[in-house]
Amino acid sequence: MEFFGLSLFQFLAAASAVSAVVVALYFLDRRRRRVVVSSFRFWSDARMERHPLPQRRIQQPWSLLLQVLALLCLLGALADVRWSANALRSLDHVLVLDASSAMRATDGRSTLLERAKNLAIRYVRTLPAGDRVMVVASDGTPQPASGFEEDLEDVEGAIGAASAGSTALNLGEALGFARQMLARSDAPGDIIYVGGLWIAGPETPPIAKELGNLRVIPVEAELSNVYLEKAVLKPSETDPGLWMAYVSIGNRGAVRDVPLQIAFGGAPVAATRVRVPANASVTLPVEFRSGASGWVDVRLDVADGIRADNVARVELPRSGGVRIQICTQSRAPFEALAKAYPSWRAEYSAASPCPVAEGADLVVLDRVEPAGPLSIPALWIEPPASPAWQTRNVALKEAAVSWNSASPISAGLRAKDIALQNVGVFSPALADEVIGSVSAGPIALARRGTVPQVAWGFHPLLSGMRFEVTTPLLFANTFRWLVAASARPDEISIGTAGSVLLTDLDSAEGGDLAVVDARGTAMPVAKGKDGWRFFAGTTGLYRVKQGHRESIVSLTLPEAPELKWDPPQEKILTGIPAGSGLEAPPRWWPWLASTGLLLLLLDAIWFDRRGNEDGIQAKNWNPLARLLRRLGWKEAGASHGI
Amino acid sequence: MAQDTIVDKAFLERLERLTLRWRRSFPGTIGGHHVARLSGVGQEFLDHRQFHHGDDLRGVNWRAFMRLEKLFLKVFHLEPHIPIRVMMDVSASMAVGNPSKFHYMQRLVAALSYVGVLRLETIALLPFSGRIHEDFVVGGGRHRFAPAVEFLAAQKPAGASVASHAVKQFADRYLQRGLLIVVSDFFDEEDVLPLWQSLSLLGHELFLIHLHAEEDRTPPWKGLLEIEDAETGRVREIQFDDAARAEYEQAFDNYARALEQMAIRNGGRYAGISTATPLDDALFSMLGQMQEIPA
Repeated sequence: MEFFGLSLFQFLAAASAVSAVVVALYFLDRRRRRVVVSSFRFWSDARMERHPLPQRRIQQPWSLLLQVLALLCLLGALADVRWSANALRSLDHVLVLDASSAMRATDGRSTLLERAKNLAIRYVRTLPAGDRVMVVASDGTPQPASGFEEDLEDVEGAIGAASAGSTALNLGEALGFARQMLARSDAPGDIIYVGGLWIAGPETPPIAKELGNLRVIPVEAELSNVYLEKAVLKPSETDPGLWMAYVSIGNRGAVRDVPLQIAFGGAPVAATRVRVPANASVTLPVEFRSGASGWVDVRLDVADGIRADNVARVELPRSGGVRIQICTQSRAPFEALAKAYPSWRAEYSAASPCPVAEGADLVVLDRVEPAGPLSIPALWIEPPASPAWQTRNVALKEAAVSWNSASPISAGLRAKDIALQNVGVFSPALADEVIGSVSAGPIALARRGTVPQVAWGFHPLLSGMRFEVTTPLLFANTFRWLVAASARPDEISIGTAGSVLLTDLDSAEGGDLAVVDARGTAMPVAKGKDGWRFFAGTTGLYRVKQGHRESIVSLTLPEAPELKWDPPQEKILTGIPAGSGLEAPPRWWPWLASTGLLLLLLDAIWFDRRGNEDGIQAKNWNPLARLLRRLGWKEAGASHGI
Repeated sequence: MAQDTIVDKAFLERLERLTLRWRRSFPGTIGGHHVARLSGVGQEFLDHRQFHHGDDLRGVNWRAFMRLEKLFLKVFHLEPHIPIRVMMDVSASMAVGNPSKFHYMQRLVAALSYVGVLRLETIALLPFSGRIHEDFVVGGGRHRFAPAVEFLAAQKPAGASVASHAVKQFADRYLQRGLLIVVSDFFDEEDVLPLWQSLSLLGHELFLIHLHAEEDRTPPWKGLLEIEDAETGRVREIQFDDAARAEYEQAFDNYARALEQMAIRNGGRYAGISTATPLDDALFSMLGQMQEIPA
């Protein structure tokens, strides 16, 4: 028997409680009847005077039996009693529903995940009442979709709400999590895996062989899929508008010729045709040109099992470099500096005050003032005295510059014995950050705000500092701080979600390593044997920052499984109804409810009438009889009430 | 109409062949319709006797004188006018039963009154409980029947029955002997048999109509009961089972038998009537027996 939401013992307890209440009502409500008699004359002669103690006997046992049966029927209808075996056994089950990226595969009618859900629901409906089921939707990481639930609707709701993730199934993690959950529960039980058996990793995890209570419900499907494994976009070192795309294509199936297309902003910028061997992968370089920022799509035009891994997308930053307006009377030193940075596009102006050019990313004010209010970031070099920058000239006797190591502008600057004779010492405002200072005071300030500004009290290109290595680094740091876009990424990777190995990192600067997703949330990064790794559970863009280096990792591809798990035959669960419909076991509640009401009606008709014929007061507690009387129903011989 | 609620016309028509009779011979004023065993002025010949000085010469049998030359006097049955009195128990206990004993009594007394007025009898209706209430005398023909019905309809069952008071009042108030019909359930806690018997000793002919509801004789209940006295309102809790019911019925039957024996021993009659008995059957059975009684 199955009792919806109730175990057999709970149902019996509830039935006993209801029956006890009915019997108590019979004792209490029908125990004592008040009747009016003509006289006490003969009552005193009767035997009752010799045993006046009340004998608690049920007056109408058949009525009581009918009412108890009726209430049991109604209780059974409420409990949704169903027939099933093993009613007395109560187990806990952890249902591991494969929600990996491979479950997105479709045969044109339904996805693997939908078929897995159907099988899971069918299996759950075969479980006896009282068994609890915990649903774990698992891809790269197991996610509990429900607690241990007895309510079939809650379990089915949790199964139905599962959606396919972007990572391959980490079977070891999923089964380990299930075993841990099962160990925490009090009752014994099984771990049931429902899925397509496609897993991540090169080999089956040992736990899959160790678990004795593992049952597998496979979703049989042939997975023929051509997919993008990875794509790396690198800007040319010499040509600012040229990009090189390295695209890796995998094939799980027969050899195929697939068209590869790269589109920028929806327009094709490169196309080729690739022959991918069976069950192998190829990598090919593709060049394309783009000077503006926008979306780049790498697309395989092929119809296969999983469509989501045929398209990769990344946001390409503008590759035209940083436009810098330099207002100076000494153009030559700047020209030499700009040649060292191809991504800088310098424009010069000798006017004083200097008008800011339209479209410039930042302006360098070399000992001049701007013609108007600043609207773009600015680097002031030896600014003229003004309320904004209050300076005083100081002749240095010894060149001992102290750099603020906490500031990103002075990060990596360690040279102290810089040949500076005369410097302008600033009187910093409260919001100013001191970048460098000498004994007389700060000589370099950074001012945050809507328009970030940096001011130097010395001229690195016209002083003895021009020959120091510090000088180009100071310029690069300052420009990166002033215009974040000036820090062009070294490369942009398009990969699959899941565990990501970060390459080309400076292991010495591992402490500065940070990975953030598109919403700015920092991702945990761990160092393994082969390098730094982080786990991306969902597809999207991730930024990897290390020191002054920054790169974009586009993980817009779902992770492809590497292996098909072959579980032992004895663990494969069979016997689940293979019908197309998800028919639940036949439910008895309508019949039970009808029978219960019929019994109540019979009791009301028979025993209320008999009660009245027996002279029982019309205050019979039976509510149905009262209702019938109110509706005008009259029993034969009624109205004896005195 | 009160008459319609108590008796209907068809029922009354069936009563017209009935007559109220009694066993005893009562002295009374001339003008009645029932012959007595006493000699006197009447229509029916009784006997001859020797003429004595002072006898009414109109009673001399002159034919016998002519033949025998002796004076013989014809003696006739006396036909006195005998009062009929109906004592109706209107105590609260008469309200028990379905239909109630009171309602049954109203119809029964109405029927008896109709039979009486039809035969030009004079009937006094005497409702009583703790005492005899205001009476109503009906007589002189069927046209006087309607007020009697209205009087009966106006009665309400109330109060406790105290037969001793009622009997004493009756004995003091009604000295002329006659037929006394008592309609009651006779549920008094005191022993009422000597009281009613005393009226018989005073010369009245008793006709005890013992009305009882079915539950008065056979209580249908079982188990723990909280019984309430309809007259006093007292409540008792008792355990009642089949054995107790049998004892109760035995006690009731013994009481009814005692009532009957008392009535018969004193020259009266007794009729135990259950309210479950149709009034027609009860009335024709009861009054039919009366027809067989020789006057």
